[in-house]
Amino acid sequence: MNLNHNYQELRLVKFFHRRSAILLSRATSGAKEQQRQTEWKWGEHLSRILNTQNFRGALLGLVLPVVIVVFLEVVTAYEVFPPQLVIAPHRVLATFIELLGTGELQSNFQISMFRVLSGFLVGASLGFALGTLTALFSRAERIISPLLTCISQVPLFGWVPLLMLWFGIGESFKVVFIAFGAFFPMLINTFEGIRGVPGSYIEVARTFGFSKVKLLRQVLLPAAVPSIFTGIKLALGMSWMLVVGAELIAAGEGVGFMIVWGRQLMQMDIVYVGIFVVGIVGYLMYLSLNAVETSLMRWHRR
Amino acid sequence: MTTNGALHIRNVSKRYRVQDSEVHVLDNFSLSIKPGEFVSIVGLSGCGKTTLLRHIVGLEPEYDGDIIFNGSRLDGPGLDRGIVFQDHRLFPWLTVEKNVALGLVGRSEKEKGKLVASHLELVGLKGFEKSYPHQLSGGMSQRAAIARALVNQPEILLLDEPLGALDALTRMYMHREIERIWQEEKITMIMVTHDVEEAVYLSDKIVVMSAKPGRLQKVIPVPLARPRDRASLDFVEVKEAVLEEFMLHTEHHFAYSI
Amino acid sequence: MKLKLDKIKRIAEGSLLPLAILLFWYLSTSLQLVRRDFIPAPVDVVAAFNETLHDGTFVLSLSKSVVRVLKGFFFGSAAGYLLGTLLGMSKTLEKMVTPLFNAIRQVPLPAWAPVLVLISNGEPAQIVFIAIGASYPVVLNTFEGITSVRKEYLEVANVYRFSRLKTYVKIFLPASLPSVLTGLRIAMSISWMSVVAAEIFMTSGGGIGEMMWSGRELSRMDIVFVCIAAISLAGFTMTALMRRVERNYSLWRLTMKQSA
Ligand SMILES: Nc1ncnc2c1ncn2[C@@H]1O[C@H](COP(=O)(O)OP(=O)(O)OP(=O)(O)O)[C@@H](O)[C@H]1O
Ligand SMILES: [Mg+2]
Repeated sequence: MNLNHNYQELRLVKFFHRRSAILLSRATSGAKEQQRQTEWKWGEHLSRILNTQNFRGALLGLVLPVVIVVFLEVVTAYEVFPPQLVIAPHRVLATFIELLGTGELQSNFQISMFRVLSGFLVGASLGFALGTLTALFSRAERIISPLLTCISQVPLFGWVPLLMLWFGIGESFKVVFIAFGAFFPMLINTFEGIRGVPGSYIEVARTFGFSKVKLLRQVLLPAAVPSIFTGIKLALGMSWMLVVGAELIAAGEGVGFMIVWGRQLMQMDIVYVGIFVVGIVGYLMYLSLNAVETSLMRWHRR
Repeated sequence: MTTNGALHIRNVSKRYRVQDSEVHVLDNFSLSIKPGEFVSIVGLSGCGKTTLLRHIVGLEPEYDGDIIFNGSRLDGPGLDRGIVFQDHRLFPWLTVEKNVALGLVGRSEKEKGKLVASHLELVGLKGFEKSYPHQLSGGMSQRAAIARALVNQPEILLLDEPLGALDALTRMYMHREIERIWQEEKITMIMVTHDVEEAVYLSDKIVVMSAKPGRLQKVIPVPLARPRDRASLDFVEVKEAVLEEFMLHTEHHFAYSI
Repeated sequence: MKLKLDKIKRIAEGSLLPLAILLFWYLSTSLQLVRRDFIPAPVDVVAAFNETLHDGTFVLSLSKSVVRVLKGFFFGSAAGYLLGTLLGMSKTLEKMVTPLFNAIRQVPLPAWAPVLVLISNGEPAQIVFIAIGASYPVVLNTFEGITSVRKEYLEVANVYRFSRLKTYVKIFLPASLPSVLTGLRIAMSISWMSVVAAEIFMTSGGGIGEMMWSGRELSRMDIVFVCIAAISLAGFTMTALMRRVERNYSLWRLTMKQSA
């Protein structure tokens, strides 16, 4: 199957992410190590941490954000740029707290989250089912995959007019749209994961006379878990992108709507809060999936 | 039954199709193995040893000739035969314990637990039940694979170069372990190996194969009492006899290629 | 002979489902089973294609989008290549920029649209939008390509006392090229997805996505169908071209290796 979906990207994301995570964990584990040794000497302990090269490395990561924040504060204080466009970070923070206080942020967030999860569940489970089917039966692959390949060539936002016409501009449109986005990464990664199970494992199952179902449950699916998990991550990321897109196009609530609404009122602080929240939540989803993945795959050779 | 546990390989031939040509891997191979025997198969790389084991375990259901086991012709895998592959092939996502329990079917949980525990003890892996394969050394992995193959209590255990990746000292230790397991379980073992000394140390008889196509060249009996002494004259004599077969083979090969 | 037969069988099996769908589409519209403004009949779509082809809107819109994609792709991948190379060659920069880069990358692309519109209305905003989407895979792939250059090569550079620039030209550039090309291919495919989004969120100056969007507003589903088909085909063709470049390069490398 040769879909127009660039699932390799995630492998790289992971790679990139791992490097920075390693740097970070080195910094903290180095610190932990030293904590054990010098628990009774806090001053020495602290200075040691500060001197660890890795810790300094992690600190380096903070330099740029701090510089940017300071720069923005200065620039806004002197009104170098139009004040409606560039907002001082502290005002964005104030708006963030204010929106939290009124509960607006939470309710919009909840609505977006609900849409993402329902779309993701529909799309990802369909993708998983079809991926498994096409991987197991090559006849099914021969029949279905050319069609799926064609469909996957349509850029996701190309579906919007059709879906809006068929499903209206309500919830079902958004769920179906998001499901589209979640479907393909899940499909291709499940397919590749199962197809990629080494023949040697399947032979072991054959010597024990496994049935087809047992083979699937005890060998093919577990062996495909890393790849399937890649699919889940990509699918969820895609869903998150599409919910924002869908809410920008047509919605009366949700984080994406909050961004549009802020722009229409020319309250850019709301827009920035929206972007910030959307980014942070995307990142948190990614991190928590990573955590689940590591705990699921303790067996994976490091 | 008189046929119980006996294995008869009669005129087995196997050709693989590779694109448009055919590779003749086994040619008219015949061999009989008595129940409880320890047989080693030696031969040059690529002569078809693994292929022969795959036939016996039933992974190649289509072949010419007959492989008769317990009186009937084999045409697929069965729990009466276990195999330890050249690479241990433990499932990395299962603990040692669960790997060993993999092949157990139709038994109660309690019975399963008992069988797994006793077999882990047999191969000396007690205490590593909850470890994952990547946490084991090469020798431990092979022992876990042996336990997995034995847990169904097969009548024949096939071993494909099980010690190929181990260092010499661990290997000698594993020889004693395999001999012990063989004596305790009283089953037939057929082992492929490149190590002639290993073959002489463990086997009742040694089968020398010639290559291209794979044929039976000679069966050399090893009439030595156990435990065997690697330095004894008799031991060295058998070893020389096996090596001589190889020399013949390579000389012939050499002359042929000129 | 047998191979040919297999291939024919394969194609037949593969076209089974698409043909069935086409037939169903044709029958259901011609028998009036569905409303034509919901799903246009195949003849309507062909007619709409003819119509827009003759009045010139189709070619104009498509070419506008193609140019837009190429611009966004170019700026995005140039910036991505630069950033990826810098991050890959300097550990300090990597530690400094990676966390921020990762954080920014988590913001879904559509969320940038409202801000971009304000900063620069029209075409530039669309191009920046596409460029943002295109840059990420190029950064990641370039970074990977550069950081996985074998240490042995760098030792050679050290032995011959290459300057930084020479090390880059002689070692990093060629060694990372396959990975960069992969990044560029992904960037191309993302650019096509982004151009549609850009033209929906930031209408101005025409384009095939905008034509699709206005077709929707006029309830001209036949035009929408034409546009979707055109976008998909154009995206497919350009990504396929990139794939060919990528493959040719790796083939070339393979033969180099073998002859060496
Ligand atoms: N599935 C297959 N398709 C085609 N040829 C095969 C296949 N399996 C094995 N062969 C060929 O059969 C021959 C014998 O292979 P086999 O694995 O049995 O050798 P071997 O004696 O076990 O070698 P080694 O000592 O290196 O493990 C080889 O020439 C190999 O190329
Ligand atoms: Mg072999």
